Amino acid sequence: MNYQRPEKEYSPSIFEKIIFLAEIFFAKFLYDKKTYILILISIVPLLTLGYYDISEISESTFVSLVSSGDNTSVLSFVILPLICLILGISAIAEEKENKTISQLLARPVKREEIVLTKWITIMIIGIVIVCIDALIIYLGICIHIQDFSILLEHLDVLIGAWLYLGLWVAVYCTIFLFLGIIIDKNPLGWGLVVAYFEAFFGQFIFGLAAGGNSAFSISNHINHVAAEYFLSDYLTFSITDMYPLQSLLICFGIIVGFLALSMFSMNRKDFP
Amino acid sequence: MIELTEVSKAFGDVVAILRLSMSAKNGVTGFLGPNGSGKSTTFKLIMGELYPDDGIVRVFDEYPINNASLKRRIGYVSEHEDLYPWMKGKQFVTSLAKLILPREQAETAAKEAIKKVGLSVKGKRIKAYSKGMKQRLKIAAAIVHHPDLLILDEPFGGLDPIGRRDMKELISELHQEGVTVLVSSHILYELDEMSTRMVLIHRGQTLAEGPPAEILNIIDQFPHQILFKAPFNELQQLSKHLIDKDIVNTITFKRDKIDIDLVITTDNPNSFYSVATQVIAENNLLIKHLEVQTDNIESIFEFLV
Repeated sequence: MNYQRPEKEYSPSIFEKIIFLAEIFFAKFLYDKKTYILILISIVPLLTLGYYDISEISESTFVSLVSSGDNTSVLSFVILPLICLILGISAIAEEKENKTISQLLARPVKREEIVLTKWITIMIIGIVIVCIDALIIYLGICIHIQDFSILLEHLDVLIGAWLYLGLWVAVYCTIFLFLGIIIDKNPLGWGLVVAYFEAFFGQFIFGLAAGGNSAFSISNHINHVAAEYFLSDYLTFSITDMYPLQSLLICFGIIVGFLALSMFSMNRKDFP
Repeated sequence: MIELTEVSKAFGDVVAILRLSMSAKNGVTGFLGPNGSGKSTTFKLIMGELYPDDGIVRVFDEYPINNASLKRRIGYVSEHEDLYPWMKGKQFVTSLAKLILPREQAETAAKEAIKKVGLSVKGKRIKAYSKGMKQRLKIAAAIVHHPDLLILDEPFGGLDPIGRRDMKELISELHQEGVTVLVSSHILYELDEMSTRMVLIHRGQTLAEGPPAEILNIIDQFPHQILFKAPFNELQQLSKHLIDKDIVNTITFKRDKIDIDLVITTDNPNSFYSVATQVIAENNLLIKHLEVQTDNIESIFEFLV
């Protein structure tokens, strides 16, 4: 070969490795039809606009379409878990299934660096997708009522919704990333069970037992945070005997905890 | 360079390798064993993709699991089609090269590696590649950083005869350049010519290791089956002249669709060939086709065990 290996061994920094790995992972998402389906799926909540009295549609309608505060939002109750599930689970599970993980493990990259880069990638992709989804819904409402003034007058709703959905993605994608690492057979199916088991038991069963919104539901904590910090003028939500800051810390703890667990599991994992 | 000592690995109830010990030093080490014998598991242990349940795996005197600096010295081609199908060939090699080489060098190195494996990509996506092209691309990605050790798991799989010949030439060339090669196959003739050392593995255990001549000697102890195709009366004549020879174990007539073939087993193939040639020449027999049927590696290993 024409080139010579450098005398002093070259070693990319962790930051450079993350950039180079992310280039590969982003390319996959851009090429993958799933990404575009996840964006287009946001049209589904707009179908429910027909049930609203057109004169009553406002920026609050948008909040109820995107947030699960009253458990009626198609986006946050059905579509959002699906987006997080597909992105989170597939991050490592697809590499395992296609055996491309072998290519990554054969390079001078630590397993933790692969997990960290995957996490960063799905965070960015997931947040971009849900932000586009929210924008499509918002624009859909404006088109439906033929009034674009609410878009500019209530931009805070859109930004609040983006932050709310971003938190959803951060929390759930991290949990599903972990599941994708530890579960070898049918991780998507198990992820679906976990997502709806959490929603069913956390929100409904424990909610009934608590006589209000249960602290055992992750989505309740996200709604609690959103009602206090992101959409305070539009969303009313509280958890019995709990401050919003506590919910925020719980969400943050879930993200950090599951990311650490993902790295640990990846490190201990066999890739047959 | 590579040292496995008493290594065991099981997947649930299935024991993939059991107290396997082997070593590989400079040169080309052929890793020969039937399918499911534990070759790929051994390679994955060497690459640090699997944790051994027991025993020690050392590569360049280091433990391979999660050892990023060690991977700088190794190139690995797995048996799987572990490629990103949406990428183009050069993009694939360059992307992975960036994790080892300086960014500005990665592209040049990728071009050189692709050229070295004789791959003409012309902007096609990997999903459109043939099996042979994919195999070459995987090798290009494995040698792009000029590794000291190249591990090839079944690199001949799915290649046509020309592809196999090119692959052998490439391995020999890399060996000449000083790269240590560990290459596995379940087909003997793919390895015997190019290997400087061979390891026989069966049911997760090393049966023998040493120079190819020694290994071939061991394999030659296996009763060889030789098939003759000819008009039936010629085969009858041949069998009549060979039946009382000591070197012949059994003689069988076997129906193959409309033809009848003659199958002879012998413990001593070399002597048999000279005796058979003599008999054929002396009796002016018209033999249309002769085929050695002992390339079924699995039966050889069963015999050796």
